[in-house]
Amino acid sequence: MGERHTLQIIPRLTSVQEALDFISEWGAHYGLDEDAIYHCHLSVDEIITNVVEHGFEFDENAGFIRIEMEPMEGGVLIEVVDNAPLFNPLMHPTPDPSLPLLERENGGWGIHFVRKFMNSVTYHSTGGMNHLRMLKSTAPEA
Amino acid sequence: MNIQATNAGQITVLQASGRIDSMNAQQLADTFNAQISAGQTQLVLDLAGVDYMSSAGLRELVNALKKLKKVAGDLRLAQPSKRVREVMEMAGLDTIFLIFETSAEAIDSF
Repeated sequence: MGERHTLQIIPRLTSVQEALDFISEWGAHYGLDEDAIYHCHLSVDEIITNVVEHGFEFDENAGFIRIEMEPMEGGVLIEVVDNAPLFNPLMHPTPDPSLPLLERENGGWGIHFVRKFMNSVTYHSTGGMNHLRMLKSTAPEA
Repeated sequence: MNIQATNAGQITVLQASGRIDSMNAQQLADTFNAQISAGQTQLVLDLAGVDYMSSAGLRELVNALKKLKKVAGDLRLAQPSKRVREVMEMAGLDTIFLIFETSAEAIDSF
C-alpha cells in the first residue's frame, strides 16, 4: 500500500483527457508499461464517458468525478468515484459479440472492455457515491 | 482526430488519424452522414493513422454500416492498428466488417 493520488474533474467529456494525463503520469511512476497504461486509459475513458452520459446526463454542474490511484502489491489500484445516481455498471448484461449487424444495439461495450483490460473490477456504493475499483497488474502480459 | 476524404471513382476513401473517442465520435458520424447524404455509399475507412478507438467510435462505425446497408452501400475498413483490431474483435466487429490490409485492396473489393 502506498500514497493515494486523487484528481477531481468536472463531469464532462472534455475532462477525459485530464484524467488520462493523470493516469499516464502516475501509471508510469508506479511501473505500468505502455500497454498497461493504454488499457487503463481505455477503461477510465469508458467509465467516465458512461458516468457523464448516463449518470449525470451531460449536466456538468450536477456533481463530480474523482479518479484515485494507489500502488498495490503487484499492481496499481484505480478507483473512479462519482456522486451521480447510484448505478452498478457491472450489472449491465454483457453484449453478445456474435449478434448480426441489424440486431445490435448501442451500448454495453465500454464496460465489457473494462472487464477484459483490467485484472479485476469491483463496484460498491458508500455515502451516496459510486465507487468502481480496478486493479491493473504491473506484470507484463503473456 | 483528422479525417480526409478522397474520391476514387464511385468509392470514397476516408483517411482518419489520431484518437477516436467519446469527445470526437460525433465528428466521425457527421462525416459518414455527409457522404451518405451526398450519395456516396461505397466507403473505405483507412484506420492506419488511428491508434486509439473507444466504444464511442465503434458505435459510429456500426451506425454508419447500418445506414449504408439500407441503401445497398457498404463501409469497408483498411489497415486497423493492432489495438483498434483488438477492440473490434472483442466486440465481434471483425465478423461484421470487411477488413483489408490496404486501402487499395479495400477499393478493389467493391
